[in-house]
Amino acid sequence: MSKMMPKPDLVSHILETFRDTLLHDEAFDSEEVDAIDRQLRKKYPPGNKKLDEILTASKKPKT
Amino acid sequence: MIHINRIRIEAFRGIKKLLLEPQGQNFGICGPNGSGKSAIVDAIEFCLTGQITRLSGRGRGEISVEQHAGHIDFKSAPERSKVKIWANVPSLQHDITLSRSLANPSVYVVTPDLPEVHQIIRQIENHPEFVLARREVEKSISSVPSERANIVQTLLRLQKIGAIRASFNRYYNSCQSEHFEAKKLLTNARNEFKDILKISELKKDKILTVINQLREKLTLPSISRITSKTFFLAFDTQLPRTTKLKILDPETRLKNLHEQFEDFNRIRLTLVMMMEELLNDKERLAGMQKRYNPSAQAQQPSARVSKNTDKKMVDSPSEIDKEFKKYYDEITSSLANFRSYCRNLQKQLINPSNAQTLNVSDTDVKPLVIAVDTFLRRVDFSISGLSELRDTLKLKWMTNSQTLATFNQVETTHLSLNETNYERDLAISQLTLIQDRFDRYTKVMTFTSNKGDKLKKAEKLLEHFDKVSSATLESIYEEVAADFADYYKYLNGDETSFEGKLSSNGGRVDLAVDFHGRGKFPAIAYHSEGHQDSMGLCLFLALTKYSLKENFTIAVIDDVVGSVDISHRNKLCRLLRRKFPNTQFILTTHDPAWFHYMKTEGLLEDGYIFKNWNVDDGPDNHRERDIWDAIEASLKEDDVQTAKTLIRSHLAHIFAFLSDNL
Repeated sequence: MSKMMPKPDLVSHILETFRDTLLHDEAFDSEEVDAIDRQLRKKYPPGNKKLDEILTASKKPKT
Repeated sequence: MIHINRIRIEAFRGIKKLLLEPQGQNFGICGPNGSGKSAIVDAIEFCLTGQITRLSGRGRGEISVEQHAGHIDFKSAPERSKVKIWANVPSLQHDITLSRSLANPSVYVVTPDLPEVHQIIRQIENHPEFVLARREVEKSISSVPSERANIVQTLLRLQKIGAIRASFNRYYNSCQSEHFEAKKLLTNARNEFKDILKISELKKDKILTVINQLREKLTLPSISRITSKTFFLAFDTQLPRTTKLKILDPETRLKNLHEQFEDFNRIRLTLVMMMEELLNDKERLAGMQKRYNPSAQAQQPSARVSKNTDKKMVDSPSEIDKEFKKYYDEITSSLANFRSYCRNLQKQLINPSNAQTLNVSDTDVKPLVIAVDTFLRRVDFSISGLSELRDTLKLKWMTNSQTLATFNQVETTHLSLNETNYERDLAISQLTLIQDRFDRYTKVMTFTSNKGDKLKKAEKLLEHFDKVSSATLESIYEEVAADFADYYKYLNGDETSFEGKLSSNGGRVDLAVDFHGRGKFPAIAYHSEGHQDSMGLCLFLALTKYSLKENFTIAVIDDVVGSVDISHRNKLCRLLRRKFPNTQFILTTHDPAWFHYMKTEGLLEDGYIFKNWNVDDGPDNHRERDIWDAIEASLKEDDVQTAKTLIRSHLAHIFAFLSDNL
C-alpha cells in the first residue's frame, strides 16, 4: 500500500496546528519554526542531519 | 469511483482468457483453493491501479508485477497480458472503459479521454484499499499497536503523519544517545579534574584553596572566583592567554643558565683582549682616533705615529680607510652583541635562585650595560675612554666571586639545597596540569549542555507533534469507532453494549473493545477468532467509509467472509446490503454453501463457480446455476461426493435461513 497518497486536508491541518504550537513554545524561535514547517511540507520528512542543521544553527533555547 | 459492468482478462496470473459480467451488481466467485479466484481480484486491482498488493510489500523483494503477474506461458510477451474493464461512474453518470497491459503497468488507456474521467482513475489509483484480503483483516485486529497505526493511517491516507512522527522519534533517539555519551564524557572530565586537585567533591571553596596554595608559591595573588576563562598561572587570571608558559625542569634551567653565562663571559673576555690590544698598538690607536675622535688625537700627539699614519693614508688612503672601518665595525658589533648578552643575563638574575646560583645580582651586570651604552654612544677611542671600558669589562665582582671553574660545584650544591626553586617549578607544573583538566572539564560541560539543549528541543518536537496529531486523529477515530461499533453490533446482536475505542498514543493506535459490559479490553484479549475476524471487517468498512465517503462504490473482498460462522452469515449479508447500498461488492469464497447462501440472502446478484484449474486452460468456470442443477450435473458426471456435499451444505443453509427468519 506504499503507493497511497496522503489526504491533503488532514495532513495540512495537523501541520498548521503543529506550527502554531511550536510558535507558542519559547524554546523555538520563528526562524526554526519556519524551517521545520518548510521541511515537513516536502515530500519526505527531514532526517537527523537536516533537523540538526535547523535546531543547532539558531540561538540557544530561551528556556 | 466506479461500478464494474464487465471484466476481460487475458494471459494474466493463472487465467488465459476470461470474461466476467457483474453488470454493476454485487458479484461472487466461488471455487476451491487454487482455482483462480484471487487471480480475478489481482486482475481488477491491476486494471484499476497498475499495482497488485499481493505482489508487493514486505518479503516480496524479488517479485514484481512486470515480471510475475502475467500468465506463465506469456512471460516473453507482456503486451499480451492485459485486463480491460467496462464500468460506470455514478458521480459522472458516464460509462467508461479502462485497460492496462503488463508491457507498461503504469500506463492506462481510458475512454472517453476526458479530464474528469482521468481524475476518477487517479482517485482509484490512490485508494487501492477497495481490495481487501483476509490477511489484512486479521492484521488490523491482531497486529501490535504500532503496526495497526500504519494500517489505520494508510487507510485514512495519513502515512505522512506517521512518517513525520517516525522522523522526530529517530531524531529524539539520536539526541538522547548523544546526550548520554556527552554525560559520560562529563563524568570522566569531572573525575579527572577532581583527581588532579586531590579533593573529594568539586566545591568552589575547595578548588580555590588548592589553586591559591599553588599560586602563593609563585608569589601570585589569591583569586576568589573561577570562570571558564580563568588562567591559573597568570597574575591577572582573567586576562586573555597570549603565550604559554615554558616550564623547565631544574636541571634544564641550570644548564641553560650555565650556557648563557659562558657565552656572556666568552664575549666579555674577547672584548677585554681587544681593548688591551688597541691600547698597546699605538699606531692603530692613533689611526682610529684620527678617524673617529680627532679631538682625542690632538690632545696626545705622536709625531712618528702621526707621520707613519699620514704616510699610509697618503700612500693608500682607501686601504687604510677600509682597515679602520673594519676594525671599528668589529669592536662596535662585538659590544652591541655583548650588550644583548648582558640584558639576557640580567633577566635571568631577576630570579633570586639564579642570582644565588651564580652569586651575581642583576645590579652587578647593570654597570656593564651602562659602560657599553656610553661607549657606543660616544665611540670614544681615547686612551682614558678605552681603559675605563676595559676595566669595567674585567669585572671586579667576577674576580672576587666564583669563577666559571667553580660554577659546576655551585650548581650541584644549589640543586640539592635550593628547595624554593624546586617547589616553584613544581607549583607551575601542577597548575599547568590543573589548567589542562579544568579547560577540558569546562569544554565538555559546554558540549554536554549543548547536547542537553538539543535533546530538550527534540523532545518538545515529538511531544508537540504527538499532542497535535493525536488530537486531530482522535476526532476521526471517534467517528470511525462509532461506525465500527454499529456494524459489529449489527453482526452480533447479543453484544448490545458493544463499544470500540481507537486511541492514538504516540506512534501507536490502540483498539479497545467492550466485552459483554465487563469493560474495555484489547480486541484479541477475550473475543473469539471469528469475532476478531468480523471486527477486522467492520473496522475496514468503517475506515474505508470515512476515507472514501460517497466514493465508496466498489469493494473487492477476497475470501474474507469465509471465516464468519454460519449463525452470523445472514447478518453479514444484510449489513453489506443495507449499510452500503451504493457499494458494489465483488466477493470470493472457497465455500460453495456460503456462496449460495449469499445468493439466497440477496447479497449476490450473480456469480461464477470455478471447479478446477489447470495451467493450460485456467479456471474451469461456469456461470452459477440453480443449486439443484449443479447437483444434477455432478451426478451426471458420476461425482457423487460433490453432489452429496452440495445437498448437505445447501440444506444446512436452508434450515439456518428459515430459522433466522422465524
